[in-house]
Amino acid sequence: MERIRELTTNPVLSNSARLGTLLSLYVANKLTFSDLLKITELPKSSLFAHLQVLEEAGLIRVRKQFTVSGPRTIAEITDKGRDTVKRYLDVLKQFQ
Amino acid sequence: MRRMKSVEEAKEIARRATRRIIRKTLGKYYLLWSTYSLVIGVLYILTPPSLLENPLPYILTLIPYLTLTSYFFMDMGKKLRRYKELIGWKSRRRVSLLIVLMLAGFVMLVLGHEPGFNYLLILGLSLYTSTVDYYIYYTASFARFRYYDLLTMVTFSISMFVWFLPLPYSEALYLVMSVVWIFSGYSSLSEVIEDV
Repeated sequence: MERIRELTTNPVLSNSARLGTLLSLYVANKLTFSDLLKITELPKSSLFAHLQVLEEAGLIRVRKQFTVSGPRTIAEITDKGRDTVKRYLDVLKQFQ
Repeated sequence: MRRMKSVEEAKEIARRATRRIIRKTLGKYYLLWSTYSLVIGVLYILTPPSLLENPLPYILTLIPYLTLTSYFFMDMGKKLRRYKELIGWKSRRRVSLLIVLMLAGFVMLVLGHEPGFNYLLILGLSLYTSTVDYYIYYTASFARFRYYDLLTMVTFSISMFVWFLPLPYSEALYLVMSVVWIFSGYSSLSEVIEDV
């Protein structure tokens, strides 16, 4: 019960765009900033702020990477992020 | 209630991400195989007449194509499994069965290619093409099934039968297949680049 409360009241996951970004990274493992912009349909500044919150919580890692199409900002889910999503899904199953 | 709405919105974002990943992979897959009949055509022209009956160059050409296809689909399969976890959908058994049937079809195709095994060849061709087509349909349905997915399925089936069975106008059909697959690959990738 404590675990359920902890997850559902977690401020990092309380925002749907932030949770959606984390779930998308759980599926894809890593995505470019421009991919995330199109997926979330958020303005650049909002997406950047959400990524910062997720990174500060240790759920994702943001880094610059050189690709064939030039330098790209990549967001990648961490092990902690993956565990958090799994626990979150378990909690959701219990609710449903 | 508000929390559940927020979770549904988050899942919708993940669904868009999945759709994007699948469409991108299908685009790369279509473009990859669009070059196959052209490569085989060039190989046929460059091969000395005395070696034309030797199947080895054609088999060797298949290796990079099959390697890349396996890589694309294994990577996409992993991502699809995680997406299905999110939406609470369990269908692993169906995909495994499909892959077993596909491999069985492929083995029948190879064995039936020997003279005198025509029934096995036709059975293998039917099983292999229908499972590959179904797999394309199944995968593409996660990324909104498009008319160009259908075009690739139809041209794939026709070209497989033309490849193994002596049918007229085969060269023209390979060219049509290449053009259709280039179009499908381009359409898939531009869909991902321009909108979600």
